[in-house]
Amino acid sequence: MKDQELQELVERGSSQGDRDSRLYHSVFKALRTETDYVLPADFAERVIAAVKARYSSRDMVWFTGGVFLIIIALVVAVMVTGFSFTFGAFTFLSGYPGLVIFGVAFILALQWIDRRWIRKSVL
Amino acid sequence: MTDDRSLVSRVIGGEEGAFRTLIRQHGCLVAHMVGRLVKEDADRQEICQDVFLKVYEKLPEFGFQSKLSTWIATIAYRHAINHVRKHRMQFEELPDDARWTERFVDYEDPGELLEAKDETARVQQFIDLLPAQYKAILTLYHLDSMSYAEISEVMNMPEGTVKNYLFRARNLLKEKLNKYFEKQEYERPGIAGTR
Repeated sequence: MKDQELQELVERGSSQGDRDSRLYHSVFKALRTETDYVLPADFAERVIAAVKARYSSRDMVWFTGGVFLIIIALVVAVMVTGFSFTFGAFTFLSGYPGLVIFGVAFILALQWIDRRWIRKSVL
Repeated sequence: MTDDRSLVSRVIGGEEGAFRTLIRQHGCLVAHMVGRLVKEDADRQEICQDVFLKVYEKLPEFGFQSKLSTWIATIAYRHAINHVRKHRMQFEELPDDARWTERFVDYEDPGELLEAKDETARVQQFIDLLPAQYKAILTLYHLDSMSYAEISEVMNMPEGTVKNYLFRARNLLKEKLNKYFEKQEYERPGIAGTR
């Protein structure tokens, strides 16, 4: 009998009773035995913690980079245009304190709704 | 078992519990592959963790062109094989001639062979000596019950090659075990002679 046929026979659980069959039985038994490596019980928690750490540090890098670039752009714009700081068009707001308070409260409310109700896309 | 499509969409939606379920469902599959291919215990857990980090990162791109388990096994295989390539191992290359087979069958790792508790442990030591591709195929087929088609997808090789490697790997193990018993019979005729 060819070796391939013998493997198929032993895999189906049959045996010829010869030496090669017995050897293949041992080989198949070992192949079906679990490896010695088992994941720790808290493995899932460790992975989730690693995902959170990775994404929070990535967000921080983007945020810091963004703030840095805005400051650079601001400095360059002021230097190039010789811009002088005035309230300009916004001076009219001094007559409408209620409007300013409403604007600030509205933006804060939007931020709160965003954090509270919009589903997070990262764990 | 949770439906794969619903599980994946829940993970993408940011549900922590869904990702926990995914890890628990496929943890064994990843541990089998990494445990079989990577010898250093300290590296195994780190590689398993990297596999699931990659799964999480790439999940939005997974379009169910294959089963979720096949896709995760592919990531696990690539991570493990990259590690193996960095740490060159004995019999890393695939056999292409009779001399290789002879060298493999005759090779003895004096440190490990003395420690085997039983025949199964002995064969498992022989499995450790096989090239990584052989070990991966044996693991996916025998421990994870994958079909030839699934293994071919995981390992990116034709089904015929998978069947051939599977046959050759089992044959090598049988020959090596035979050689081991022959040596035992020669050295201690009364003990190994029962086989």
